[in-house]
Amino acid sequence: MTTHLAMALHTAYRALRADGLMAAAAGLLVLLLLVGIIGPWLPLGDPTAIGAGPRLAPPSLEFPLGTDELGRSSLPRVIGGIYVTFVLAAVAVLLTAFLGVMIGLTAAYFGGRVDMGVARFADILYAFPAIILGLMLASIVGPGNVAIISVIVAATLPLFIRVVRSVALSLALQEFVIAAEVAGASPLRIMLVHLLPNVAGAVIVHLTYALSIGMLIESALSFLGLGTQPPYPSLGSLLQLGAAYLTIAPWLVFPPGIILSLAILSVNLLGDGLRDAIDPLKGKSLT
Amino acid sequence: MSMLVEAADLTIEYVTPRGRVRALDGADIALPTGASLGLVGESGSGKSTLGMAMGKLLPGNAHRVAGNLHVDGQSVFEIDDDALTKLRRHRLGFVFQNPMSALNPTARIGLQVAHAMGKKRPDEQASALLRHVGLADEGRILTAYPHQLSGGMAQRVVVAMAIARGPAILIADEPTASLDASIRGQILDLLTSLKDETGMALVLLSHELAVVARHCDMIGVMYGGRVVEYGTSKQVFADPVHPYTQALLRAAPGRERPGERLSPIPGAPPVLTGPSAGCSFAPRCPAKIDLCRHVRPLPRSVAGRLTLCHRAEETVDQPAVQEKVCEP
Amino acid sequence: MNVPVIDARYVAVSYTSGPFWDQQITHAVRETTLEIAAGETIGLVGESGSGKTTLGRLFLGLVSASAGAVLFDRQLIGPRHRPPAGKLSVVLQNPEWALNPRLTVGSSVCEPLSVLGAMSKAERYAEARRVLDLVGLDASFVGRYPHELSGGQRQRVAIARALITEPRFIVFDEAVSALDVSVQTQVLNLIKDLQHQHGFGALFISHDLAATRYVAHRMAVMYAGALMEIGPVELFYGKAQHPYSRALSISIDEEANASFALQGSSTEVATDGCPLRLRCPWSIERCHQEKPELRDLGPGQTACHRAEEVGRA
Repeated sequence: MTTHLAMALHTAYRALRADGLMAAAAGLLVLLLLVGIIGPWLPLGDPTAIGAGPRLAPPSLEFPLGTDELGRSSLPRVIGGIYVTFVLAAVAVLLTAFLGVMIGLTAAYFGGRVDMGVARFADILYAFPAIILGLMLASIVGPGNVAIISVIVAATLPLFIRVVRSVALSLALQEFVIAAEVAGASPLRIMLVHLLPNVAGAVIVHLTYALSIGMLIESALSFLGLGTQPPYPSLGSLLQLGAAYLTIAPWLVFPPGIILSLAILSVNLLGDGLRDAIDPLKGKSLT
Repeated sequence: MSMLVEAADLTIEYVTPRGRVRALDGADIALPTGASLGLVGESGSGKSTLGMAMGKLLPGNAHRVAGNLHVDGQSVFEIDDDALTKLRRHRLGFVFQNPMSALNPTARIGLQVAHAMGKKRPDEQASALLRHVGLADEGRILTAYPHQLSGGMAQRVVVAMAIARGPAILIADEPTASLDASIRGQILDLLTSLKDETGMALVLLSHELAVVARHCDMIGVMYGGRVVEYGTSKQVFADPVHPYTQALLRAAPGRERPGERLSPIPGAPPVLTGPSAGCSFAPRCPAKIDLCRHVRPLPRSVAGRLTLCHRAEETVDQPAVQEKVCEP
Repeated sequence: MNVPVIDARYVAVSYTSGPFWDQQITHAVRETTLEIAAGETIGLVGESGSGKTTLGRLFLGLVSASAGAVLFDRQLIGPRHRPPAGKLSVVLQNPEWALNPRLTVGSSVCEPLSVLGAMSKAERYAEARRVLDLVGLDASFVGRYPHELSGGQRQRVAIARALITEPRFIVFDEAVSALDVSVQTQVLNLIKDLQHQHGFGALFISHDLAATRYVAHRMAVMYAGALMEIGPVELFYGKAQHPYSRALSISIDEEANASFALQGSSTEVATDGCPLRLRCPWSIERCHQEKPELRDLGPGQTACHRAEEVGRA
């Protein structure tokens, strides 16, 4: 497994070197991650200190991103928000990947009714708009981080199942799988040793897309008040709180908005670049 | 007599992320009007590249490094795009290996044939064309979709489309490789009879020497991006002078006696990344001498055909299939 | 008396497809009886749709028989009666996917032993090096990945993997079809030599008559799911007793009688009488009335009413 990881990292490295845009995207993401992880430890202010400064004060030396309606410094809140948004989305997406891979491989290998059942389940789940799912789940488990993770999982699971299933379906017919069956390998062995490593590439690419979807969902739910509860900030809840003061205190809305957009854009660009690196198209022309 | 197709020292490389791959390393060929040429070679021999180069149908990463290719009097790599389009449309016809991928799966046959003829809708001439390539029941075929035809029928449709505008040259790249053995003969006979009727030239690319010998007037045997032997099919097949051709005939199953052991050619065909230092067959050649590794052979005329071998004269009298002791 | 390694009796495989109000039945393999002895290679020749691949899968126990039974060493085998692991092996066509692209050559070759679970890792790799040597690849190949190998080398690795458990029976399904001619013969010779040394029974499936008759001791020809002819391989060097076998050899043998060339296309399969009668230039009225059954004739068996004349032509 370590050699696979090394090979995957090497492919990613080569791709980064080749594509400038992707390299920029990756760089931005790394920067945001660092900010999100290290930022809260820096002496940049307390995100929950009410009344640390005047209400709705514009950016200044003491409060680089201004203050919100409760006098809290905006900068540490934005940094905290980056952390929460990223981490929540990442945890949810990793959980989904794990579930999606297990379900997808089982469906592809056993085929028949099992496969049909799984495919229909994924289709039904896919048909629900994430917001409806969000409202339903939030009303069941109550608003908060658990709701966010559940919604992200529910919304991105069909994507993973589909991807894993489609790759594994074509793999399951290939010679080396048949040879393993003839040699007497058990279904579990075939799924783990033969199918899983070959599916990994597609899964990694879709992890990035799912991450961007996850961040968007988190923001949307928090914006609706169903996500991260006060006083803890997430980019989405910051947007919600700041939207009310858009005309008088725009410095509250723009930083989280811009950062969220950039983060999603970078994740998508990274995903595109990885996909191209793993599966390069060979261009043919008639000239 | 001026040549319809003439390649002189044609050298083509592909630029890939892993470096350059040399597909043709100085290929020479000359095809007179109305003749049929079979290009025989294994993978990496360059036969597909040479065949496709005739219409400049090469991938975007192909570069002509040296040499020239004249088709129907025009220098393929030097003419402008308009002239190239005209050449492809009116003077050349192509038939590829897999008819199902050559046909548009979402368009009816009739429409595709009509387009090949330069018309908008199929008419009586389209029906006549399908009958001409040996398809009965052409009414049903014109309204059918490609997946409703068998492989052989689909390939006949592809041939019809290729000859629709009366090309001067028909280039067929392994046209029967994906067809059943029992109908291969039919398709190849169709191609040769079309050539006889219309006087067009036929270039047949194949990896099977026996097949090419039966259906073509001239044979060019390719190895390592060059044409190592070129002559009439009777000469080359019955009495080859190049060691590779001889080894190929000895190694391929089909002409052995029951129980006889074939002697394969050791090693594997080369993949060139630059000009080959000497003869590219030298590492596998039973007749190699020191000269072969350092000096590239030039085309010479031996026993009535062109060959690229330093020792060609000496190998003239060797039998094509060596007698071997039967194994128990 | 020698127990045949594979003993297939009256096996048939049919599939139903289509919506439930319009079910279509496809007979992939019609009632077929075939035996393969240890140390013997049966060459199975047929075109697309002949059922030869399905027959191969049947003999490996990967496909259920709709009728009849397949016995391996006198034991019934099938998807629900898996044969003992390691006794059967397969070598398939496509060198590109014959090996798991994510595993090293060593891991792939050791796989059948890992499944058996008896040896330690070191012992398994020692065995892997041994069989790689048998197929002409040196020990350095163990650490390489499939994409670093040529098609011929990958096929050799697939053969090594098939041998490592000392199987009693190996199915080669279009094993050399994707290889260059010069490499094909190397692999064919290898298969012949290995069988001579190890004594496994083999089924060599191919559409290529020339390659198949070179490796086989006995040959079987299939069309539309049924055996047309079976016999010792010498018959198929120009003395076959069935028009279809003769038709297949036209493209390889210069002296072949061209009067056997089939007409029409492979989709024209007759449902009454002889399945070949719509395409066979030798068919007569009797071929329409009465379906020819496989019968003994000389050293082989053939399913043709005019077999005696064919044999003399």
